[in-house]
Amino acid sequence: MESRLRNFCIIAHIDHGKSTLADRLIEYTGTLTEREMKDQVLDTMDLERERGITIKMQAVRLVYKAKDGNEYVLNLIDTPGHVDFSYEVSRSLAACEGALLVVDAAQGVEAQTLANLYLALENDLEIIPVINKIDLPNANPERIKEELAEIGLDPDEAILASAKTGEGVEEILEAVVQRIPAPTGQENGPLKALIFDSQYDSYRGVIAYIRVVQGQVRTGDTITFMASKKSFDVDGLGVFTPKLMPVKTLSAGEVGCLITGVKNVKDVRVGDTVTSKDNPADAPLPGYRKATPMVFSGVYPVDNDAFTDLRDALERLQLNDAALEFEPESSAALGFGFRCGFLGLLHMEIVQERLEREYDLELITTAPSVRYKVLKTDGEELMVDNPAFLPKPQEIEAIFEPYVKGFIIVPQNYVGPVMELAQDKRGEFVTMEYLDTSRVRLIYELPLSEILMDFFDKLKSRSRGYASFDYQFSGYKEANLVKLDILVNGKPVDALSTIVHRDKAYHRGRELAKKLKEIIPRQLFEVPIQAAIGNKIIARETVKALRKDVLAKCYGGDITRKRKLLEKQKEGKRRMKALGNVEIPQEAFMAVLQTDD
Amino acid sequence: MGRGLYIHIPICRSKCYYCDFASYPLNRFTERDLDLYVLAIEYELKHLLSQETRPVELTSVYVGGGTPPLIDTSRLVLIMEAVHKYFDLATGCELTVELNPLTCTPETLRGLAKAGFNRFSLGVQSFDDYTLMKLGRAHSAQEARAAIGLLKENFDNISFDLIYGVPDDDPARWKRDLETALEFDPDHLSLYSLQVEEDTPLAQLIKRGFCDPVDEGLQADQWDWACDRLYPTDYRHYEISNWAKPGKESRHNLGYWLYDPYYGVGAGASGFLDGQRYRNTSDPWEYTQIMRSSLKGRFPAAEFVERLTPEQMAAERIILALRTADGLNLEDIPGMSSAEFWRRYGEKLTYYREMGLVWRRRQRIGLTEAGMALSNRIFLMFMP
Ligand SMILES: Nc1nc2c(ncn2[C@@H]2O[C@H](COP(=O)(O)OP(=O)(O)O)[C@@H](O)[C@H]2O)c(=O)[nH]1
Ligand code: SF4
Ligand SMILES: [Mg+2]
Repeated sequence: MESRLRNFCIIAHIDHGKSTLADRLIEYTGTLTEREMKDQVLDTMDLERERGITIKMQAVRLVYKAKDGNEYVLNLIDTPGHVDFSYEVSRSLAACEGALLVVDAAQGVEAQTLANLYLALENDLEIIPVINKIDLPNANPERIKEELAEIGLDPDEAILASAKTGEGVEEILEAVVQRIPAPTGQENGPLKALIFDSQYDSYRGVIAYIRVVQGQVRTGDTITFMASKKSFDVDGLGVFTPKLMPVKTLSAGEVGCLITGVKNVKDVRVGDTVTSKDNPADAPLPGYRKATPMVFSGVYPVDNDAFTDLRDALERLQLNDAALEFEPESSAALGFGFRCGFLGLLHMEIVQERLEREYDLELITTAPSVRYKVLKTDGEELMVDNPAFLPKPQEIEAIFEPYVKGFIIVPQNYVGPVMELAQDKRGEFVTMEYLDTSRVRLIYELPLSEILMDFFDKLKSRSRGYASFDYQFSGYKEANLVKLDILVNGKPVDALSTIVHRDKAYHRGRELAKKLKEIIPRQLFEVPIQAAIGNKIIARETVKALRKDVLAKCYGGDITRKRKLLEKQKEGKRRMKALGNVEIPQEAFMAVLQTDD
Repeated sequence: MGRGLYIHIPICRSKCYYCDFASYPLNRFTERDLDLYVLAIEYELKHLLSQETRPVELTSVYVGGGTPPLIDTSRLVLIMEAVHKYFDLATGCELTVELNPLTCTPETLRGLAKAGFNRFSLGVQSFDDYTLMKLGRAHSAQEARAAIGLLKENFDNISFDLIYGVPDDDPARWKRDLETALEFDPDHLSLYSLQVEEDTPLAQLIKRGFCDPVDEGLQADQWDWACDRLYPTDYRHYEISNWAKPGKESRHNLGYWLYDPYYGVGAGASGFLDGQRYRNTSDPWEYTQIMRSSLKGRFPAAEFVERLTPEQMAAERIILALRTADGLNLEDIPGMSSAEFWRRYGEKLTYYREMGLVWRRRQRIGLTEAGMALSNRIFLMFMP
């Protein structure tokens, strides 16, 4: 049986056609009837469909009758493509023996193609390069082959395909069977299964996605989660077709899901090992390196009473999103909320959107920050991810900020503007290499905080959309940083503080004060907005007092209409946060991001 | 407590650029339409009265529009006869009719006298031809002056409507207009700030760049200026947009602010009875049709009826009274004691008092002129 099993995934730069190809594979193997076949079946969440990106990987079991006459079971594991989610990619890679590396036949190798390729190689996966979209008029498979050779792959092994027309799909399936090794692993011996993902379902409780590495698990067995040491009965096992289909056993090499009715999210940790209670394994499988959040922001309910709802929602989300971190914090301006850690900006946006949409919460989020390392004069070392908690300047010996290694792939004629941008963003040039005759790969050391601002947008605009970007954390570097405070009506607003480079502080302060002046509506009195470093005010703007807000129109006896106008106004006000007597709209707290250098 | 009757005549000669009231050009109505409309009003009056258990005495009747005289004063006479037929009128009952400079002919005025009106509200809007043109008014400044002259020869108790905050307005224009109005010595003044409503020709003109959007700073200046100009005169600023000589306050409009019930009759008219607010369909032909059929329910022509919740009633009572110079008597709030009122709003009101926006005298609170200018912001706290 084992030899008829293949576990593989598809990796690609965003939009190169990973989801579409997965659909074709499912269709080709007849896993879904045509009626069930919606486009991009693997992207299940509404949000994913809308944004066209894959956040959450899932496994699908395909049954394929190969040319050698045998039936094979192919487990296809979908992976996210965006740079924020490289951690999730690495989790799904650990459940596979091989990967289809999809490259767009017109666009060629991009930053995330490389990042994903390296992750796959680290996991010893067999790589099958697929040049996709060869149906496009501007497809140039020969050029793409050159690029593949440049990054160390054998161009002759590449399969030419079109996920749109279905061309090459059979060849891909044959290659999966022929080139990707069957999983190795002992069917006898104590159970060891890796939890590579989990999901919460309100009926079934926690569903753990597992890859059985050794032994077998059967419905009715009692299993133990090795990290939490908790034991549960196996209520059910299933595989995805991609609908959940119950099975009686999962054996070494197989991928499926495990239902135990566990209600507590914390008992089922992604990366943990499942073993048998009666016949436990002596050591767990090597887990994952924990995803480290890089971006932090305060998330507060608009309505303070919704604090516990927010906590419950975050706990639920965390179950399907192991990378999300949160802990309670409070702000003088915003009340009680959570400091959340995210993998990157996109991850942050997705979490916020899911909280608002799926859990119906109204939120205020503060501008994202990185996590600084602060060495105090008394020798103590602190990690600060909320600018409001930066110690006083006189107590600080040094501040270190996270740097990333940034990989930019860009056509040669845009190298100039892109290098200028990287320099603006305090980047340090590392190297530049040619990918082919016309495209260049630049490597920069960049402060992560600068990437949070608006790096992607600027990169895209300076390269007319041609540049692609990926980064990985590279370490901490000392920097000349100061805390920029914002005072509204004379009072500092903790949630508006940011940490910025000293050289940029004046400029940023002025921009921010100006921006806030636009965002904060007129109040019954004049509201000064000041930017300050320590005790020094570096910028000042004034929101002039509102002079007139009155219904002085003749409405006859139509009082309802008058009232409706007030109701509308009240609704707008509800979405504001009162700081003393000043009302601030939610956008103000994100304004820091929009200032332009 | 009084009880008012509002009758809507949805007819104008042409449509003003800023208008979003229920009104249609006269040429869309046949003579028969107009006759049927009068009949429909009579049916509605009769129907409303049939819903009452005892006779009803009215303290005010207000015939507005549109431009009521355009229906022909003979028809207004019929309408007023119907009012007398079904309702009792209190002694000194205020009987207002709205009119427009173009309808102020000696003949029309004779007709209005015959119908029994004793208060005349004239839509002057401006004494500046350029401004009248921007507003799409059908009359000229000269016609307005002539109309006023004629009105004053025949009647007492005259009110003018004037408008400020017109796009591309000139601050001097407003001052001149108000001075001119004062020279004519009206008994009552309604000063309205122009509101650009969606889907009006004016909104289109602004959107296409033919004129600038309304300048809110200038509107505020103009309001301030009018308040200051009228402060030392006999005119009392008795409601946010209304000034009157002593005893000349509009009884009918005060009824709205003091939470008196009122009937609304005719297409597009709104009424307030027994805690219910309703608004009739604004289509006069549909309205006529409905009234000629067998009438069902309390408000047969209503396109909208709403029974106010106790919270909405309390909020409305507070907000409407605060529009007036006399303010709110805290004992008048339905379902809320004055202690409860202070518990809920005391802190904010004290703060507004310190800012000079709110005054308090024993059980009464009210807005100062500065408070009136910002009244929407203050009212928000009372909204349920
Ligand atoms: N012409 C053409 N378009 C394709 C092909 N494969 C995918 N696409 C389109 O490329 C876009 C991105 O595809 P998607 O599968 O979502 O990419 P992913 O981000 O890698 O999952 C979609 O608009 C697809 O319809 C192909 O073979 N040919
Ligand atoms: S006169 Fe009054 S109701 Fe008639 S169109 Fe002009 S603004 Fe509208
Ligand atoms: Mg996708």
